[in-house]
Amino acid sequence: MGVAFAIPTVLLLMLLFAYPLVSGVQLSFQKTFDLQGNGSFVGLDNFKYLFTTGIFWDALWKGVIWTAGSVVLELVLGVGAALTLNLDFYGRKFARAIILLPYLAPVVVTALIWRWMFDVDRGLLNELALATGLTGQPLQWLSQMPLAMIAVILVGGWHFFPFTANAVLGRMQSIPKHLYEAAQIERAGRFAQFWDVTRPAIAQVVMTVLMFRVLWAFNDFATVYLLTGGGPVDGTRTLPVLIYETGFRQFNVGLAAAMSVLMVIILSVFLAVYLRIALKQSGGTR
Amino acid sequence: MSDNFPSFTPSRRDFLKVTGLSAAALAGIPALAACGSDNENAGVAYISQDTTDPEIAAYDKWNAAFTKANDGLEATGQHLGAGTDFLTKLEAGLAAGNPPDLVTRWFSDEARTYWNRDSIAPATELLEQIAPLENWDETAISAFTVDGTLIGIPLDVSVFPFFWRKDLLEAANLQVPETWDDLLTAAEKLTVDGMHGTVVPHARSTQISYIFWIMLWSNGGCVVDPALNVALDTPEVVETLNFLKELAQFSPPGSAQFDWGDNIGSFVSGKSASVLYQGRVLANIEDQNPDLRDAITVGMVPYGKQPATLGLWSGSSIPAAAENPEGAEAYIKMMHSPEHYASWLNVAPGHNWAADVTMMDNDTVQADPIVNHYSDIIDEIRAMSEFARSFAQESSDHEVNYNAASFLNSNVLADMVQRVLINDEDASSVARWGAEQATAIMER
Repeated sequence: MGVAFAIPTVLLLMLLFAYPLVSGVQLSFQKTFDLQGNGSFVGLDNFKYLFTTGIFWDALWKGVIWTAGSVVLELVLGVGAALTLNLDFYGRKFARAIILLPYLAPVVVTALIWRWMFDVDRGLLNELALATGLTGQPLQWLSQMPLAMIAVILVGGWHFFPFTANAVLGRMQSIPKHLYEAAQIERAGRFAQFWDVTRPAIAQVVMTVLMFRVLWAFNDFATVYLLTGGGPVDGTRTLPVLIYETGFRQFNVGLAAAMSVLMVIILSVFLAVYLRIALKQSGGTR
Repeated sequence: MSDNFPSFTPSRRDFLKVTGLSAAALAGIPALAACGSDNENAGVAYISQDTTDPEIAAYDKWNAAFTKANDGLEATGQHLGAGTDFLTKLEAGLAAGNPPDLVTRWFSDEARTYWNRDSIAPATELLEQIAPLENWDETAISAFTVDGTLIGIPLDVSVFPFFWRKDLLEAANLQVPETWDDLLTAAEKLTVDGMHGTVVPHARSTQISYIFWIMLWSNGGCVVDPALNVALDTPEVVETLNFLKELAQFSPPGSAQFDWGDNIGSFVSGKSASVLYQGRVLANIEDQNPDLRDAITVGMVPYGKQPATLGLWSGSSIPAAAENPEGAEAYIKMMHSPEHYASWLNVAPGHNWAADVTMMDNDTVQADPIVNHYSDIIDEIRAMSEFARSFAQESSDHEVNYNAASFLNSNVLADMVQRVLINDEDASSVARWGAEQATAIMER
């Protein structure tokens, strides 16, 4: 009976998940330049091309930099914001609500706002940099490396840190007060309280957030593409941008599918490593 | 954890209920999809590259007129902009066996690509029903013809001239530049007091690819040779890259982020003294900066070795698998009726002119204030079509390059320019790199 109950779900999953996945894998073994399936079987040629030309590795490396940079920034800003918002101060509720705004803004809007802020001629950041004497001439934020990568990482970190902040804050609010009271009795300072009480309590949440954010950031197409288009040249061309350009600008669908398959494998490996570590940390009970 | 779950033993009735609901949900998916289908009412579904407000307003009028003339049959469209989104939508429709009934105002190069894939229906008979062959611009008919078959109904023609600030040229005692040397001299002299001599937009987009390609032609080069072998590793390409680098010194700061809108905007707002763009400059000056209306002039694209520019021939095609080809034909005929055709041409006068040349004498077209005020400039731009080439057929000696649109969209040319202008890489090695990239795309 249990199996029978699962059948509709399995069918639905197959329809929504397995079919596109299988189609993608199938396409990755084809040389095809349209979405109509007019291709020929080429075996592993697409994969050989990716492994030998360097184009894939380059985009992968850019993706790792973008993901690591933006996720670390998110975690630092997010945990910092959560610690602050957990304090008692006037307007705390308002601050908790307002901090969500970057996360609520659609990516397109975020990218447009930041593009204006990065603008060479009229951008706020250049105005500030020039006014404070940090630089003698406007910075080419989005058209020079490594500034372009720094810029997209800044935007990524700014856009998504409320997610981390919210998750961590939620966990912090459930830490029993008596633990802090006990720590205070033991004369623990602020840092010691954070290290011995807060840190272990939020560790699991941070790990979970880390996993989700790495997966999302690595897959993130919109933030990077809307800000820099993958440029200058290929300076910020991460894997999703490369796949989009290959699949939907050049219509080299087979090659784009091969990249997608490799990307799924990479993320699966990351997930497996993460789960292994998480299982180890929880004593294998989960 | 499992100990905490409430026990649940489903009954036969529960099982049937869940299965029934799931089956209904599964059956509902295609039904919902069908509800969203463009062709559900057997009207005419089109996709278009036109996205500006005046252009969409023109379509709204066409749609209303079409419905009125066809017993309530509706025409609905999606305006997707030139290039990627448009082609992706078309690809998806073709792949799903549900293409739009009509593809309006796409470029002849794109039409050729899809004709080559048997995705487009021939339009030879339809053309004759609209107007006799002698009425049509020869270059437009040629652009939409493959092996003697017409693959779309041409609507309009456009070329890229070089706009100049006449007042600034006169003040600097300069003529409209004709050669690259003239252009560099003028750009340098006009770069004073916050003004920039020209604009070289080089964001990673098709805008700089267009400009590079045009400049390459004017320097005697091509992207592919007549037999379609990639010809990017050549002295002409290296010279063109180096020329653009030199010229970019006189472009406004931030040009490395400039795209189509920034390019035209730089000239129209008075920040740059010249720009390589189509005739839309005229309508934008009237609309956004009329102080410049008597201060501009136009010239051919300055050349390195020979005059050349880009021609764009837009038209409408009917996909071979269209559900309602008759409706699509009726829509095209309506677009070409004098009243509707004239109102279309007046959307951006000077930017496009009629592929049916008899329409240029139409009273409504002639009465347009922009056509009146800039008639000399418009005549000059139209005369430049003598030197116009297309991406898909770079000269009359060339075979048709069905991969031209894919190559253009690949950003290889934009990357080449960026490598030299931003990364300061050696133009010769960049040309070699570009040739390798292009070869991979062309070998299909």
